[in-house]
Amino acid sequence: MNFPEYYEFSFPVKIISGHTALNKLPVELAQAGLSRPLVITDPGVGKAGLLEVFLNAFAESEITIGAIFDQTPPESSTLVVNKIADLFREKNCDSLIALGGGSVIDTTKGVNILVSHDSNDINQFRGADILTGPLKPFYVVPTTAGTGSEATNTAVIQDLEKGVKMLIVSELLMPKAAVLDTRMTLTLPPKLTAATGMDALTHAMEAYISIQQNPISDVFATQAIMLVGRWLRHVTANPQDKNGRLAMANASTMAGTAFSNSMVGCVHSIGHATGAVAHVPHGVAMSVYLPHGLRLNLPKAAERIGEMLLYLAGPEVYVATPPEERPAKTIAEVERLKQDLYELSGLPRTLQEAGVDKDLFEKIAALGINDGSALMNPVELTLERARQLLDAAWQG
Amino acid sequence: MINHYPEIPPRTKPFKRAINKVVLFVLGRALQSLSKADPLIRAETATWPEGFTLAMLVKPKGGSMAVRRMPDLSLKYLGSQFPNDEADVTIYINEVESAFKMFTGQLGSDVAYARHSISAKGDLSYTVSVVRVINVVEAYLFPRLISRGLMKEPPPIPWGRRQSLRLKTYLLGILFGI
Ligand SMILES: [Fe+2]
Repeated sequence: MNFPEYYEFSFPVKIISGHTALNKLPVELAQAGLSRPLVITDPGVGKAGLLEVFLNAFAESEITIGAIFDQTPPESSTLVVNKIADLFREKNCDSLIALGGGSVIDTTKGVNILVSHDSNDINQFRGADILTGPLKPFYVVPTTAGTGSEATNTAVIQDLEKGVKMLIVSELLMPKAAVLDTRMTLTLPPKLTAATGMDALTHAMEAYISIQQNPISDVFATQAIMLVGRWLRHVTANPQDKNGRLAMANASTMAGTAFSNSMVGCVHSIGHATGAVAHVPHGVAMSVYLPHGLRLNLPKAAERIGEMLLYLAGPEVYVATPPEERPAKTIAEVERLKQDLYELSGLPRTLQEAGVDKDLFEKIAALGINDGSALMNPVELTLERARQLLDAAWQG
Repeated sequence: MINHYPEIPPRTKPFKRAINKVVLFVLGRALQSLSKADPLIRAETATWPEGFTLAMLVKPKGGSMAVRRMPDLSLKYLGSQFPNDEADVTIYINEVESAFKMFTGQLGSDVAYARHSISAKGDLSYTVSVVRVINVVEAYLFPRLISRGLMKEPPPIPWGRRQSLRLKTYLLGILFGI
């Protein structure tokens, strides 16, 4: 047992959660003295009919949507960010609303940096904790439940010409409010629901055992683990369940809050590399690697891994398991969740099922050990350990 | 009455500032010297682009150092006056006390990052590699008892190499820049 000698925790985001929470967003803007938001979204959101729901929420309000940019690509880029920043200035907007998933939210964070600093070069803002404020008022309406981007201090913008990913970390990137509206995630298909839910679980579990872990982020992490443990199977099996959807949206935001303050670890290091090299969707990679990543950290974090059993499996299971068996039992519970999600939605359990070629392992390992998330992982992520993790994840 | 509300400029901590500046110099020279011989460091610098410059600076004016990655994989010490806005990556140590703790073997790089004692400007994709290099340097500069507390696990340096390169770094690398 230990208590951090020093830590910082920041979470300036107001949470607006409900089956029709979106209807409250115009009031939020008006109270902040805002009247012309720029809305950033992607084609999928329009196709799913969510833009209609969104625009209806602004009926009979005092808010004019300054413009809608609905062509955000699946990966945010400098080109798009510059284009939207121009649109913001041209249309005299005073605030930003991101309506979408991880890419839309990251793009909006990038746009906010540019319009707030009157710049068209995101490159000069790259770095950790160096951004200066204030930024424009910014609101998020997530349409997936998993990335947690509505609660994080990070934006990743790609420079397609140079082929590099630019990373910006600053608590100023967090929105003023996140609107968790049940209707936004009700139409997500079961497999995507399962994958994004496992991403949220991974955020919470990695944050809980991270070197940067602290008592306040623990509260968010453990509640997120509890919500995933209770609801993820149920929502994957019953996609139309409103309470379940809202619970998972909350789990995602809470897990995002936890890892925004405590960082993630080796599951994300190898997962990011697997996405870059083998194009495995992020949530699928998280699910495949999570139990193996926990196992890798047993030498340093067994006690905390064991503690998570209480939240994932509930008090009965926790009490019935002797303390020395709890770490292994937590991992077994994650495996059982994976198995159930596989049966419910076909979510891949192994790298083999995810269609990753074994020949890519060396490349994935080399890239993974240089991922920033490796820094806060309890056990040093060496090349050898990365290889072992990949081998273990191949057949499960 | 005028002097009842005096302006108070920031106090100084000349001793800690001086130590920090000395260690920045030692670190720069040690990076230069060790990067010519240590295979662990060279394996890392091999992944950095040629000409890549890394600066380290104690905010706001507590000293700095910079190194550049040369074609032969070694790092060249660029002194304490290198303009940090020209570096590819600048690591800032945010205040004098954290810098003093890091430079005297009381605070490791990853824990310093976890405590928001350091921030970084530029391409963060080299951060993990830079931390591994600094860990190796610390393993040479500090006695094992101290360096063990600064990192998750000590880098795999054989005993003989650690003793001989440590001697070379202190006698030639730091004193004469070899
Ligand atoms: Fe994630």
